[in-house]
Amino acid sequence: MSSVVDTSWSIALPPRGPTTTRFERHCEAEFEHLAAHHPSGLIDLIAGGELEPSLLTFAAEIVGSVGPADMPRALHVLLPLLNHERPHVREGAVYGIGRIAMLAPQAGRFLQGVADDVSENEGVRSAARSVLGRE
Amino acid sequence: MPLVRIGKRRAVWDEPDPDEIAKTEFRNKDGSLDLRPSVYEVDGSGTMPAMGQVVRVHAEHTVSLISPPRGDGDDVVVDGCGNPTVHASAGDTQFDFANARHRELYFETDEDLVEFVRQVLATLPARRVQVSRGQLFAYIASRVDMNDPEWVRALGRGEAREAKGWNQELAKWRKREAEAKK
Repeated sequence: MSSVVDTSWSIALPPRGPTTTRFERHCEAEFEHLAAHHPSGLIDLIAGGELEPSLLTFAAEIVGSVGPADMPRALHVLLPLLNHERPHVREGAVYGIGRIAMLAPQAGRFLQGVADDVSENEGVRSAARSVLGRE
Repeated sequence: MPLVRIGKRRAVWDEPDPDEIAKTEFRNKDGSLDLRPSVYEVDGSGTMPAMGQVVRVHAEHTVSLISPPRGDGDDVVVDGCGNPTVHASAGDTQFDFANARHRELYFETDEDLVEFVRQVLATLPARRVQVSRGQLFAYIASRVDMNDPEWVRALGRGEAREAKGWNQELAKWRKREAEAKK
């Protein structure tokens, strides 16, 4: 990433994570933009805990597509989301970790427990099994 | 004929709150609610779609549009809920069948969409249609093995958005199938 200050990042919303003036609100398009151009911004946005579940589930999936250099931090914010109270957020975290596992297969081990947990929501378990290539 | 919605998050349909489901399943990338959500019209009656066609549109939709590859899913039959008008609309997949079966539900307001979700939720058990990983990849493998021109173009020539990933997943599925048969 360039060390030159990107002046398009003129607004910091929420305080812990930068966004751009092109997005009126948090949204998938913003998450995709951040993942591609400012991955630490997306990681901070998730870590800040301010995204509502219906957005957090997609932020969690999309953060899995950051480059190798940011994957450890992405995984660090994703793992706690596997215990989020809302199942669709946990499902998003499964997909995010699945994306990381495409480049770093060892990340898949974090999903073994989800796939085997009979008390887990069936949609979340199914997502984990699918990411792991199981029926 | 049944209208089938291919979902984004299977688990969200276990939420009790229609508003949360609407915000998760029916939201545009810019954050606004999607008042023209896509569905596929398949043969069948009521909430009983022809399963072969559900698997087909699911496979054609996901291979064309879902990144990275995802091996299974929960689809929902949405007929008779709310009061949307149904419009034929050119689909955005790489397959003629799915594109021909693509429809959009037109809602006037956000509240109309949430009411639609509320009505789907009220009768959800009869409306859920699961496409398993096995069904999905068995279908894809059969089309590839038959040299279906659309599938050859999508996966064989790598024109699908995530052709490499889908080919890897297909290879994994074939390997597991072969091992299971030993």
